[in-house]
Amino acid sequence: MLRSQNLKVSKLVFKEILNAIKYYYGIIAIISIFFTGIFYYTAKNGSIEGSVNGFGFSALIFLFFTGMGFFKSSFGFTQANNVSRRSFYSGAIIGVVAASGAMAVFEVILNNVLRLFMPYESLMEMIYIRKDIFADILWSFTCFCLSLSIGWLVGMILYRLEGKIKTLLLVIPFLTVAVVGVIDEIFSLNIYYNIYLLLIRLLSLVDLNPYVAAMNLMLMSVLVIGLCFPIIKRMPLRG
Amino acid sequence: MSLIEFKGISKYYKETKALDNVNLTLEPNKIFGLLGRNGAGKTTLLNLLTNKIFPTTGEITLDGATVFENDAALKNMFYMMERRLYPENLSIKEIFKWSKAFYPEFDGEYAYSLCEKFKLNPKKRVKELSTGYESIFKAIIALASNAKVLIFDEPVLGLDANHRDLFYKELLANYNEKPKTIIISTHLIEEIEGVLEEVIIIKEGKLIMRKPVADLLTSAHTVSGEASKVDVYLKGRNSAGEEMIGKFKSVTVLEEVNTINKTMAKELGLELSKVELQKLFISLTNI
Amino acid sequence: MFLDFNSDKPIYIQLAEAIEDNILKGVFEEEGQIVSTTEISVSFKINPATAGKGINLLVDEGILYKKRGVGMFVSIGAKEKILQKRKEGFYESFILTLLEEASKLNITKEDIIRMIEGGKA
Repeated sequence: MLRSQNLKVSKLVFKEILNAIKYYYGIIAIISIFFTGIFYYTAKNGSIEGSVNGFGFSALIFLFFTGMGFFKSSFGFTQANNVSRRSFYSGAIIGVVAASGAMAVFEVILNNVLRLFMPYESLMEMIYIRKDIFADILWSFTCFCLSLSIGWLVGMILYRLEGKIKTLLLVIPFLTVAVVGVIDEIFSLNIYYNIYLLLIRLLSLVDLNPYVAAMNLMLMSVLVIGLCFPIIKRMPLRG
Repeated sequence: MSLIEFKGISKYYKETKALDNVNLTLEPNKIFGLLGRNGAGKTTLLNLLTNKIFPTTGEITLDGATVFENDAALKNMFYMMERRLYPENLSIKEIFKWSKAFYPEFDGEYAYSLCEKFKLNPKKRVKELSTGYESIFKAIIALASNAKVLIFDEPVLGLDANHRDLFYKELLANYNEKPKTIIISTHLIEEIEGVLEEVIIIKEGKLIMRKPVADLLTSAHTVSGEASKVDVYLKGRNSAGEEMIGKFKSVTVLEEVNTINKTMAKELGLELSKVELQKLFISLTNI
Repeated sequence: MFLDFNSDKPIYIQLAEAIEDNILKGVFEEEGQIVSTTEISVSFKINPATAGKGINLLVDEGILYKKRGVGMFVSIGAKEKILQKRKEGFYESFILTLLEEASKLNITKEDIIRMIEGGKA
């Protein structure tokens, strides 16, 4: 009976994420209609030129920020209702996964509908050069999951830290990139190159297998979500 | 039941001791007043009780089970906090629905009837509420939650006199009908004196007093009269807090009124009278 | 009924006396029910334990009795009991204070008797 506290949390998180996504798709809808108009207007000899891509990528960015955003308000709300952090954690995971799944399905359906009006390729189709609805859903699902999770993790870290350290944290990524670059140069370690190679392997960009990529993305999500736990475990409520 | 125990609770931050070795047992179904000056540690104590922050040392239990990350215990407590933690865009109706989700015993009908009494429109969104109405809606959730332990941190912040009166009456009506443990932390001591059964006083992170209100009041009295005579009376007695207007002096004495000091006061031409809770509190917590 | 939180008299005693006053006035009749602890608690904004203490005081003195499941009732002969009690307390409550005040003001016993019999001294 008390397990159900986390189900309530998942409902809460799910609703919050979907609420944010509403706005995203609202904007997408407007843009799509706009471009549909342009395509038909500029069509020569009855055929449409040009194509639109890249909605998929913007979805990832959007989800990152959504991930950052849902944490603060959900956490506060659940604390007001005296829910333990453990329940919040497990509930949020379910909510994130459910929202990613729902959005993935919706995205793929949307893509196929858009295709009726304009030349459109989804992100997965562009990268893996294949039209496979199931792979698209799976791949999108894992991408969205990872995006939300990273956003959640970053959101929590920022929430947990005090003011000065916060600004430090924002600077550190840039510093690290610069420092690593310098070390790379000096010692010819090819760190960035190796990271590049690793990414190619993870995302299966040579074999162009979205299923392998999806699996790796899922593993990365699990890793990121796992990192969330020690941060939230003794997270004090902040004002 | 709902027995609350604070065992050796200390909370240290980097430079400060917010709470220092607090040992406290709260028996079920009484109305407790948690009093203390600003920064004394009241809110810290309540935050620890409800798993909002964690103790540096010690343990807090509800019916013997630790409250730390324990949903079973936490579900039995409703904590009305001063802070704004409810999402601003939700309407009160929606928040009632979520409260019902997290507190299954939440009584929606009762909540709406309280809204009517306080003239609160449940369709309003949290961000549209004034300070007073924000307190009111949170207090309504607390009362309607049917939790075994209700904790109020400054419940009447921003409420006009009529609403404060209504709040105390609704609180007592609720308590009379369904006895529960109620802890009220407040600065408005005068108003709440009659409502409380027991009083807990925190001073600079330490528990300095924990007594039934009636006992606390009989354990002290005020002596007043000509300053030099008062000083004679005070010799050898425990006192705290004095007021001087010219030659007229009034002192809070930490002793019961009995025939001995009554006679002495009479002989010295001094007057003995009761101390109100607020005055006694001020005396006890001034340095 | 009115409770004064600033008075030297504890609230529960004030409550008991207020109930007694109402019995004497006939507001609460013998064998009749008085207000419940809940009503007292809510109307006066006092803790029900305090209200209970005041009522128990009267129960102990035989002025009120409890009918289980129903409430508190005024005993037969309560009026008499109260009058008797007040008569016995009259000296303490009124006469002593009067004498004290009079001595403060240098009013003699004869002055007092004259005042009682005909008005101002």
